[in-house]
Amino acid sequence: MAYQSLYRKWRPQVFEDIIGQKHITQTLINAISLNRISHAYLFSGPRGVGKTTTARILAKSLNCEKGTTPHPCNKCERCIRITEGYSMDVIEIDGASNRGIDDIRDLRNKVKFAPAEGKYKVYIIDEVHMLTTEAFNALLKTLEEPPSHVVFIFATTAPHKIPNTILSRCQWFNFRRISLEDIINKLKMIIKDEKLEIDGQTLNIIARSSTGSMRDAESILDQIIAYCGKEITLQKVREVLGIIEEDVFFNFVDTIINHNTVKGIEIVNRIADLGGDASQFIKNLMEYVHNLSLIKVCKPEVLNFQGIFTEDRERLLKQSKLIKLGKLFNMVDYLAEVERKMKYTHNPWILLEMLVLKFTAGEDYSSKEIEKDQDEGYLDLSKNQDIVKSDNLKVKTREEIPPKKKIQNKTKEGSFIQTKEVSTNLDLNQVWPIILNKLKKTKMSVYSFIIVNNLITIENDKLIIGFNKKYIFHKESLEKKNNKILLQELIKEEMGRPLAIECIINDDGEEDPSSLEVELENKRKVTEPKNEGEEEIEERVTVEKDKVKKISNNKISEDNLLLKESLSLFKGTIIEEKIENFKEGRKEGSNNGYEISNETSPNNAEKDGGS
Amino acid sequence: MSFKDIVGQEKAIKILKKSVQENRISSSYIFVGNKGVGKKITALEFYKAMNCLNINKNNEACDNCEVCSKINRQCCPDLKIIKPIKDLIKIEQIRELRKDIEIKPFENKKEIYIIDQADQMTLEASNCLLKTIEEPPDYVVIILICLKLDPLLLTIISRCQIINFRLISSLQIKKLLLNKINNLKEERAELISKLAQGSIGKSFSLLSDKEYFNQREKLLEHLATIFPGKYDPHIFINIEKMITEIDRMEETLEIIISWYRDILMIKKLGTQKNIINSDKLEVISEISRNYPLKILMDILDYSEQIQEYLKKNVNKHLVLERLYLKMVGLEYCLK
Repeated sequence: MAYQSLYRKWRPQVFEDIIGQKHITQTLINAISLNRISHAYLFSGPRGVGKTTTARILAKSLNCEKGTTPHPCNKCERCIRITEGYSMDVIEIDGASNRGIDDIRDLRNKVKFAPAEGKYKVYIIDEVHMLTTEAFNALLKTLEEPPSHVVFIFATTAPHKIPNTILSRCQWFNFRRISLEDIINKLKMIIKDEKLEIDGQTLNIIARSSTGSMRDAESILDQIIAYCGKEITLQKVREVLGIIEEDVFFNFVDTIINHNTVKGIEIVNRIADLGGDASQFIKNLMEYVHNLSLIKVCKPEVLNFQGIFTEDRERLLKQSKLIKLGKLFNMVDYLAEVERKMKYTHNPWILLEMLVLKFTAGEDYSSKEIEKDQDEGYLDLSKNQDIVKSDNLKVKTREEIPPKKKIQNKTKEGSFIQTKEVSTNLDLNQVWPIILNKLKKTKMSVYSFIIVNNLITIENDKLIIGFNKKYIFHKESLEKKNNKILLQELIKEEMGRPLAIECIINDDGEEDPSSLEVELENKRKVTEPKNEGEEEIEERVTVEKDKVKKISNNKISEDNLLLKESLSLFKGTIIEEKIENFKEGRKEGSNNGYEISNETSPNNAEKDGGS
Repeated sequence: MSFKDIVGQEKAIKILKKSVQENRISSSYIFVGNKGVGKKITALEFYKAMNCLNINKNNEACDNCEVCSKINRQCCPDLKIIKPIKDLIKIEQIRELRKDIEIKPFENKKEIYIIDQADQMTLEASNCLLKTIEEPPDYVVIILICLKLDPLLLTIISRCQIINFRLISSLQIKKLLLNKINNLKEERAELISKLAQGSIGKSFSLLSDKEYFNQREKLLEHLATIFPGKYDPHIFINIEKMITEIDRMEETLEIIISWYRDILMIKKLGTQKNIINSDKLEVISEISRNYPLKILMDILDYSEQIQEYLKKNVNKHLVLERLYLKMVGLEYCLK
């Protein structure tokens, strides 16, 4: 007999031989022995787990000469004919090739005829997900109430492509991936029969690269036998599968830990020259990095489950201690991205060189990401602290002054002003009028948007422009890309360095004169220096010209000491405000406020203690 | 031609030879590897080895007998090659194959179906093939040839034996070029072997492709004038020009990628090993001083991205404009 692939030779012929699908075979065996056979079954699951095989065995069980039995004899005429695929009563249709409505119409016409020899007529439609919608719909009525001698079996890898109306008419069995252990056991059986010898580690590699599909495992074994003949060694198996030794990955990750770019790229180039397969390399590297992170985090029991060998563990453990978890995750992320790109790219090795560079270069791709994360974490923490502190202080505040919104706003303004003093570049004040002038000439509209601001400050290379709620339109217009770019260009020209621009809603340049008065009174009661601030606000309200703005800006910094004092007096309210601020900030997505308040609060506390 | 004339694919050939020797010829194979590394030739050789009338001890075809010469001329009735029509292999072609397969071979022991560029099969076509490649008649061998495994269906891959074809090292290509072609200058051979990036087919097509070198020269000259931060006001006109000139988009992109990769390599490693554009070393090392690492990585990332975009029919104009902006570092400055 001509040679047959292992997966065909070893196709199970009885329910008991099907591995890893106990939940299905048992159900079917019971159904057959209780004579409760449904007229339509749907088998779904990943490739190579036994769908078609099960369908064929079921067909045999139904039509065996011994009568319907869960244990088909595989010896009688009918069984043999079904196995060889020319039985009259078991019609195996390739759903992917015969997918049109005409094929199904044809099937409908033939369904009526009684079986030729057996008890049942079994239609096995494989790859049923490829039927067209029309074909599915044509099948519906037949599928719902077929003649009593008909059994439909559908097999597919993509059950989600099948209409619900079909699903609801079938008994649906979902096949599972086969576990590593089951695959290894089956492989051992095959090896014994083929009179070969393969050691445990090699088997493990075969089983692992099959990712839960028996047919894959058998294909691989087939290929290995073809390549190695009788002497199967780990080395040769790796060669056939293109699996790269763990040592390479160990060295590779080592170079990343040591930031040794040159060596990393050498490794990549060497593998490329040796004819390695880039996608295989990426897959294996991902697995290795995954293992590293597992070993870093998990208990040994989990590692057993993952099939990591004990002898490798020591080394993995050592290495895992040297590298940060965040970096490992970043690597996996990047590798996953590369794997996706593999479909499109022409030279995959360049992508891998980039990987090395990104993870070893000074301004590190990975560490940059981590830094960002840490920043956020830091912010979060500071917010929390704020809340805690404010809780403590709130009580005091309530006793002293009834918290009034306007005053809070006022103080918030104060806090902003303070930032200006802290971080504003002196040259902004000088340069700003020039910039505005230029802006006026180049694009008047932008100029008009910008002059209604109530706050301008520089912070961490960011120019922050505040707007009152009322001027939200101006803010949004200014935020438009081209306007922003224009402004940035100008700033860059004048100040000699690029600044990012952030527009925020700064909801405290009070415009409401009536409330202002109340506020004024409040302030006067408390302390004189307040007045200064008040005036400034009034100015802002009434005059919205940029020049004045400038003056006020200057004034703020001059008056800052006074304001600080006033702030310290208002300490309680500030903190109250901060909660407000926090909430608002969440809505608006601007977080400059907190950092400032965070800075001011300990100061205030100190001052308070001093006084 | 025979197996031993195929350069650089010892491993693949060893697997195939063994399977002929041990009579374990699987019914379906996938030959995967980059363009021009010898997949198709190997497939034909493999078929010869299966059918040759007087095969020698090494399991190599004689190349003289009736069968071999017929295969060489590709007029053997049992050898069928399926190629994409207008970039796609459609379901009708596969249906035809299914009908054909039922018919026994005319004169040889085995019948072979080679599906070239199998990654261009439509989804329907691939599904249609599934049942056939799983259990074809004994006398059939089906070979799928593709550049990468990823676009194929998993269900197809699991039914086939996969034979990997490696890239051929530039040294080997250089040797081959110098051997095969008289009076080829060594420098030119060196350059071509690097540019071919592991593909013998490409190296031979480069030899006669003057257009390519012209274009490359022009493009590289242009690229050499670009520095981050130094862009003239006519930047968009430049782009316009660049786009109208591009008729071999993918090649151009490859040139760009190799260029910036070289710059990056020199900048980061300082060694001159592994440089693709070996004729431009000086320019590259000069430029490498002017480019910040970040921009280079950004450009490379984006160019890789573009390859995906091109497959998905994204507006070329916009994509190239953005790439250009990245090259002059404008985007980076704005950040």
